[in-house]
Amino acid sequence: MVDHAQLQQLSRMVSEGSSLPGCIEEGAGPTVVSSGLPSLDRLLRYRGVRLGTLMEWLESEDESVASASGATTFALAVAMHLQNTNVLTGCRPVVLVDRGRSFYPPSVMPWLEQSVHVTSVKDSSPIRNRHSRGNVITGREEHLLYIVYPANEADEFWSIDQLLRCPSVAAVVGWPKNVSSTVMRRWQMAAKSSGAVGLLVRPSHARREPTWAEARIQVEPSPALQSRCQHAASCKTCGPGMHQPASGRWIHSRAFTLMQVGGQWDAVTAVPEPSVKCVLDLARGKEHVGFHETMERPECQEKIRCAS
Amino acid sequence: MSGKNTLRIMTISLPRWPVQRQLLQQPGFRESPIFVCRQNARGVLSVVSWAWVMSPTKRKRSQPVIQPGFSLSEALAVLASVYGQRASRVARVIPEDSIGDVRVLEALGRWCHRFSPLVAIGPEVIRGADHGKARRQSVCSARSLQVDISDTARFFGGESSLLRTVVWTLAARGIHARAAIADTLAASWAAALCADRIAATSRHSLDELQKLPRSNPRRSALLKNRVVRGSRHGHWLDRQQRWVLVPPGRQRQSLQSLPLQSLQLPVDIVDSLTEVGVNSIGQLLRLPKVSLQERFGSIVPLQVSRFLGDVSDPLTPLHGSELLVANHSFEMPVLGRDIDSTYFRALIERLVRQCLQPLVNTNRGVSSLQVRLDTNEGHRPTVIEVGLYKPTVQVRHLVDLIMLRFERVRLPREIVDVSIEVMSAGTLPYRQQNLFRGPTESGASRFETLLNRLVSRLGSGAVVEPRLLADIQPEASWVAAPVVGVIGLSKSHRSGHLLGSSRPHFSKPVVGPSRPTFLLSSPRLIDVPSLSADGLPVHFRWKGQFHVVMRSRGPERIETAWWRGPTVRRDYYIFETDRGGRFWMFRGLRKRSWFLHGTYG
Repeated sequence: MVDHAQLQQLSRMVSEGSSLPGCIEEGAGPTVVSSGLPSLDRLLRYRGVRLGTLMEWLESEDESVASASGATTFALAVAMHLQNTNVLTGCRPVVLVDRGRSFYPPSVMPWLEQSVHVTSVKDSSPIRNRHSRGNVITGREEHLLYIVYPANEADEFWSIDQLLRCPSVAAVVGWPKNVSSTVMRRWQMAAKSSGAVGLLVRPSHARREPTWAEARIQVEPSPALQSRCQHAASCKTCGPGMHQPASGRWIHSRAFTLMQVGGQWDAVTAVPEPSVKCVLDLARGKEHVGFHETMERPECQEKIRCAS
Repeated sequence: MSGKNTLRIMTISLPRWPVQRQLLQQPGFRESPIFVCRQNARGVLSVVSWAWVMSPTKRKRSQPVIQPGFSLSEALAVLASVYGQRASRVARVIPEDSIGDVRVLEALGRWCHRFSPLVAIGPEVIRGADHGKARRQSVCSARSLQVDISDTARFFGGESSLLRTVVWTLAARGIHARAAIADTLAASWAAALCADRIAATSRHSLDELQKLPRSNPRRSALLKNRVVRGSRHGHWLDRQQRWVLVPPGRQRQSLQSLPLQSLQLPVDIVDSLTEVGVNSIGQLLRLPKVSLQERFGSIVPLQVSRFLGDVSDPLTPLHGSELLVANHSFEMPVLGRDIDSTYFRALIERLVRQCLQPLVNTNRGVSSLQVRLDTNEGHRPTVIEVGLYKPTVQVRHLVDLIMLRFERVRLPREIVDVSIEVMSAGTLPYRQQNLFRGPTESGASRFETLLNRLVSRLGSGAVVEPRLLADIQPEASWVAAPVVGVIGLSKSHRSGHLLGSSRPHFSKPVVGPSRPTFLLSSPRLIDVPSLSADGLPVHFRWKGQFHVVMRSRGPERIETAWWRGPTVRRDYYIFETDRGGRFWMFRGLRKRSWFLHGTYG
C-alpha cells in the first residue's frame, strides 16, 4: 500500500515534470513563445509573444485602405501559430469576436488545417495520433476556430473579457473600436489569469490612446518591398540568368512594414519606434523565411538594379 | 366541455415546418425569403417549403402563389413577379433536412408534455407537384403534433382556454401553429390543417344566421353545430384564425365542408374523386361505403371510419419522454422588484437540483432547460430557455447560466410560481479523472462552460463554428453553424445536411489567398472613372479617395447554374493599389459595373 506522503511526493514529481516549456503554471515566470513570424519576434521586447498578454495591431493610417491593409491577416497568423504552443494541451481554439459580421473564414481555413497537421506530426505516441484533430488529453473532437457575433459594444467587451479568462483558449482576436483604459486593463488582467493572448485589431487613431497591451504594432503594407520580393523569388527559382514573369503569383504573398509604436502605460521616457520588414506567405500564414538573404545575393541585386 | 369517457384529441399543426425550423435555428434568415429545397436525381431543385417573414406594411395584396413541388426557378420567377427582382436575388436557398426537422419536432413534442402525458407526432401533410403524373413528386410541407387531452383540458381552464394557451405560447417562442380539438385523431388533424377553410364556412353560416328570424329552428341548429373558432382577439370572425374547437360528436356536421385532402387519402384517389365531382368530406360521407370500397379499395372506408370514430385509432406516444419538472409556488404573490437575489438564486439552485437528481442516476445530463415565472392570471409568464453545448449535471454551472439570463430579463411584477423543466437530456460525456489533482475542471470542460455562458447571454446564433461548403458563390461558400441548438438539440444531434457535411461534394471549396479576409454583406457599387484597354480600372474611388491600380489578378469567373436560384455571373479580380491596399472586386457580366465585394484586411 502506498501511504499518503508517498502519494504527495509522487504528485509533486508529476507536477514538476509537467512544467515543460509552453505550459503556464501558477507562480512561474512569464512564458514567451514565438509568434511564428521571425521578423516580428525580433521586433518584440521579449523576442516573442508573452502568453497572457494583449497585443494591439493598428491598421494603416490611410483610412481608405485601413480595412485592406493587412493588420487582421497578421493578427490571425499569430493566433493560428499560438494554437500549438502548449505541448501538453494540444491544439486550443482561436476565437474571433466579430461585431461587424464581416470576417470571411475561407481566407484562413488552410492555416487551420496546417496547424492540425503540425500537431499530428509532433505527436509521436499512438494515442495522440488517434486524436490528431482533437485535444489530446480529453480525446474529443474539437473545432479550432469559433466566431462570436456580439450585437452591441457592451456584449463585445463582455465576450472578449470572458474569452480571455478561459485557459482553454489559445488566442482571442477582436476588432474593438473605442476601448477605455479601464476595459483594457480588465482584459489584460483576464489574459494574465489564463495565459490566453488577446490580439486586438484597432484603427490607427488608437495609437494616441493609452494602452495596457504588451505591444502595439502598426501594420503598413509595403508594395515596393513586395515587388522586390517577387523579383528576388523569381531569381531564386529560375537562376540568375533566367527571368520568369510571376504573373498572378504575387497574391500568395504580401509585404508589410511592422512598426512598434507607443509604449507601455508606465513608460516614462519616450520609446523609440523600431520597425521591421516582413513578407507573409498568405497560403500558409507564415513568414517567407530567407527572403532577406535571397535579396542580399549579388546577382539578385544586379537584377533589381537593372529592373529599376 | 368534454363529457366523461370521451376521447378528445388536440392537434397542433405546424405549417411550413421545414422553413419554420430553419428560422428557429437561424433567426437571421428572417430578413430575406427562404426556400427549403430538395434536389432530384437530375439536379433540379424543387421547393419543399418557403416563407418570407415581413411586416404587414410591406406585404403586397397579391401574395405569390408558390406551391410545394415548384421548381426553384419557377418559384423565384413567381416571387420576382410580385416583389421584384431584388426579392429573388436576396432569397436564401437551403437544402431539405427531414431528419433535422423530425428531431426538432420531437423536442417540441416533449415540450408539449406539459399539456398531457400522451403526445404523438401526427401524419405528414403530403402534397404532390402539379407537373403531371409522370413527374409527380410528393413533398412534406407541414408537420403536426397530436395530444390526448381527454382528462387534462380542465386543468387549463377548459378546451378553449387550452387552445389559446398552446397557440400563444408557441407564438411567443417564434413558432406559428394552428390547433384544433375534436373527438378523433383524423378529425382533429383535418380541422387543424384547414382552420382557414372552416373560418370561411363559419362566416357564411353567420351571414345565414343573421338573416334567419329567432324563431326559425334552423337558426338554433346552426348555433348548436357551429364551430367555435379562435382568433387573436377572441372574436370568432377575425381573420387571424389560429384554432378550431369542434364540439364533441359533431365532427360530421362541423367539418363536412373540408376538402378531401384533409382526410389523409392518397393523392391519386383524391384526384379520381374530384373528377367525378366529390370535393368535400360531406359529399364523400354521403356515398355508400360499399361502393367506395369496390371502387377504391379499403383505404377510403377506413379513413372515413377513422374520421367518424367508428374504428379505434390509437395514439402512439413519443418514447423516452419522462417529464422532469420542479416548481415552487409562493403562498402570496412576490413582487419581482423586491425579490432578494440571494434567495432567488438559492431557490433556482434547489429546483435545478431536484430536476437533476433522476438524471444523475441514469448517467445523463441536461442539454436544455426552461425556467418559467408564472404571474397572476391574465399576464404572460416570463419564460427563459437555456441551451447547453454538451449535457451537464453541474448545478452551479446551470444556476450561473440561468442567473446570467435573468440579468437581461425584466422580472414580472408579481411572481406566483417558479418552475424549471428539463427540455432535453443526453448521455454525459466520459471524462478521465486526474490521479492527483482531484476532480478539477479540465480544459475541455472549461471551454464548454465558456461556450454555454456566451450562448446564454448572446443567443444561440451568436456563437458559431465556420464550416466550408462546396459552393462556388462566395456568399454561400461557408456556413456559420451554431454551437448550441435552439430547442435543446445538442451539437451531436444537429444534422450535417444543412452544413454540407453529409452531401456529396463535387467540387472543393475555394479557400486561401484568393479569398478576402473581410466580405461585405452586399457588394458595393464602385465609381470607376477610367478603364484600361483590357477593360480593367486604372483607378477607382473608395471612401472618398482615389486608388490607382498597380497590379491585378484575374479574372476568376464565378457563374452559378440557373437551377440553383438567381443567376450570379461575375468576373472577380484582386487589385493592389498604390496605397498598398488589396481589394476583391468583380465586374458584373450583365451591366458591366464594378463592385467591391471584399478586402484583404
